Amino acid sequence: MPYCPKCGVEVDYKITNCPLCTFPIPDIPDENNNFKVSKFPRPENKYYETILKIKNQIFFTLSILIFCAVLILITINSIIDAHPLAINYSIISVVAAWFYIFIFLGYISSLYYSILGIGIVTMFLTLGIDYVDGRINWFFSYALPVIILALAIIYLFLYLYNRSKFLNKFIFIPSYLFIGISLLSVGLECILDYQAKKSISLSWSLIVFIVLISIAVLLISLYYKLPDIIKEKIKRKLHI
Amino acid sequence: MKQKKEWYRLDNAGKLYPSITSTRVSTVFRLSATLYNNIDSKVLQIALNNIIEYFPYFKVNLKRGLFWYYFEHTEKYPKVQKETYYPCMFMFYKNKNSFPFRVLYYNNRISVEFSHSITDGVGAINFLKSLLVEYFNLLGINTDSHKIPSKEEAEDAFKKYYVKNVPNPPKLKKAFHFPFKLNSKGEYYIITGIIPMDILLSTAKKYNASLTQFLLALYFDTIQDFIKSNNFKLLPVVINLPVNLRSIYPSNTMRNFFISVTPQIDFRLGTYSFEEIVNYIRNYMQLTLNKKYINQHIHHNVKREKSIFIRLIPLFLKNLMMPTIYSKYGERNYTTGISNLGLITLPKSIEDLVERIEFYPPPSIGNIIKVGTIGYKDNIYISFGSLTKTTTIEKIFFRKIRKMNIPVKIETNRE
Repeated sequence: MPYCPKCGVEVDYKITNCPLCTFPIPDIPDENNNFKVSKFPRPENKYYETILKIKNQIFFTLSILIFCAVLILITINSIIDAHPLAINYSIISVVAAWFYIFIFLGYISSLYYSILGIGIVTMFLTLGIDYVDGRINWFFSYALPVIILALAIIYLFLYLYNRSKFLNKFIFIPSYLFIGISLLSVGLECILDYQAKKSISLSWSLIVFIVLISIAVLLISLYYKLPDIIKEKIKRKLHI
Repeated sequence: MKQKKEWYRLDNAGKLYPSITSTRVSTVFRLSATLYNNIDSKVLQIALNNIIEYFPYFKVNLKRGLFWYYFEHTEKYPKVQKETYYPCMFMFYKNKNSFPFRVLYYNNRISVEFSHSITDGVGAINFLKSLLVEYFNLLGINTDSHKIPSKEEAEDAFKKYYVKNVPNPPKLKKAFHFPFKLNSKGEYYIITGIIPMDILLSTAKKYNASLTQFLLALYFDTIQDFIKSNNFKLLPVVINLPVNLRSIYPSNTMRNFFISVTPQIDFRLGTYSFEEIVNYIRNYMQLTLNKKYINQHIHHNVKREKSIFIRLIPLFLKNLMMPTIYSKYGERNYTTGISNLGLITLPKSIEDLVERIEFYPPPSIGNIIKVGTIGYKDNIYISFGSLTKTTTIEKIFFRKIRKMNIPVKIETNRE
């Protein structure tokens, strides 16, 4: 019988590496030439196949529902004298919902592409809503910059999270969230101010920014600990 | 007139499982019997059809009530399946017409996999034994006949032996967990060590310990070595040890009837010698394996189930809350688990036709490594079920056994 030289345990014939320590096991021919049936099937992983099947069922059902909703809206539009704007808004929203469902069900495997997908759908949704009355009023001035800003901040958050995912989550996730929210507030006020007054003068966002960034910096510096000299000084001054 | 459908409440322990089941935490365990000849699937199907009538409480489908799940009797028959997947994989037993167990065959092995919501190891052993007896009967080998099931076999023994006005057992705190990376979903690795029973028993006897105590001590010692060699942040090591309560209370129920005792060693107190660990476990068992201690746990579990506030929470909310509660109050407080199903005996007429019986514990994210042990004929089969590719714990454990000069044969489903 073959043995693992390192673990000292007996293994089956034809086993190439020890199941415990992966050390190579010398190929010893079966002297008795016993017929051995395999103990386990070559296992299939049914998880992904099963999940895809369920996902397809959900997506198919929701697609039919959305198709029906669009059909109903068009029918209502042609039968009763509803305001065409209301109907068009509804149709655009329902179609966008279909794209959102497609992304949220995870058909796009990469998280980064999924977020980009959400951004693009949101752009088309806002563009569509803006264009319903035949003119583009606020899409380029407000919607597009806000969406790009939000996407940039989400990507920044993900980048930072991936860099520190093995560190303390209770410190880093809130810190990065605070940084993200503070940047978003500043960005939003910049866009709003610029579009309204064609000049930028920060007010409320500055308060949010200072408060949240201070908390984030405090949390991160507490995690990385203060330099020994400062620690010693604090200890000396505040000892009880 | 349409016949009234029989239905069963889930037992006290079983109530938890459908709510915490996920694709990883399947709550499914396996018992398998390896024969000397290949399995005839048609005969196995007939055998299953014949014996399932003797286990009416297993011939059921899980249904949703407004407040709890329940099992409803079904006229359909379970189908035997060829084994193609990893062991103990999730089963969609919440779906219509799905059974909370499955019977699998592969080459010369018959496996039964049960959801813990319906029964525990003892129920599964009895089912497997009956299936084997009927299978060999159909092949023309004279074996014993089946017994008629009594009403007692379907009872919720937790409720029967529940004692009122007993104080709650002490609460556990967060335990040490193995810091291993989880494997891909849909995979479950098994490493089984086959050890001669007589040598293992005589070694255990040298330490004045029973087999369970000895294996438990070895497992504690393994974790101690692992923690100390890696300088991990120390937390108490707690091992979950399910105890079959049928040996303490006079019940023959085929549904869940076990309580977990939780021996724990805090390695912050220093390094423990193997003798010290064995001593601790021996004393711990003496303190806990008695009706007074067990009553506390039964009382604690049943009291929660009986609470009108918990009963009135709609099922969908229970499903949302249970995984978090189970993780916080259950597996968060255990490092790992070891279940010993004891020595299994088959009728003399078929004993020579069955080579071995194995037991695989259910996979769990909270305790990514669990151990199931079972004895049959001259061997004990120790199976590590693991949701990680890392084999450090298994390696330390079996090397320790080898160092005691006990022979070990290792088998695995890993590639």
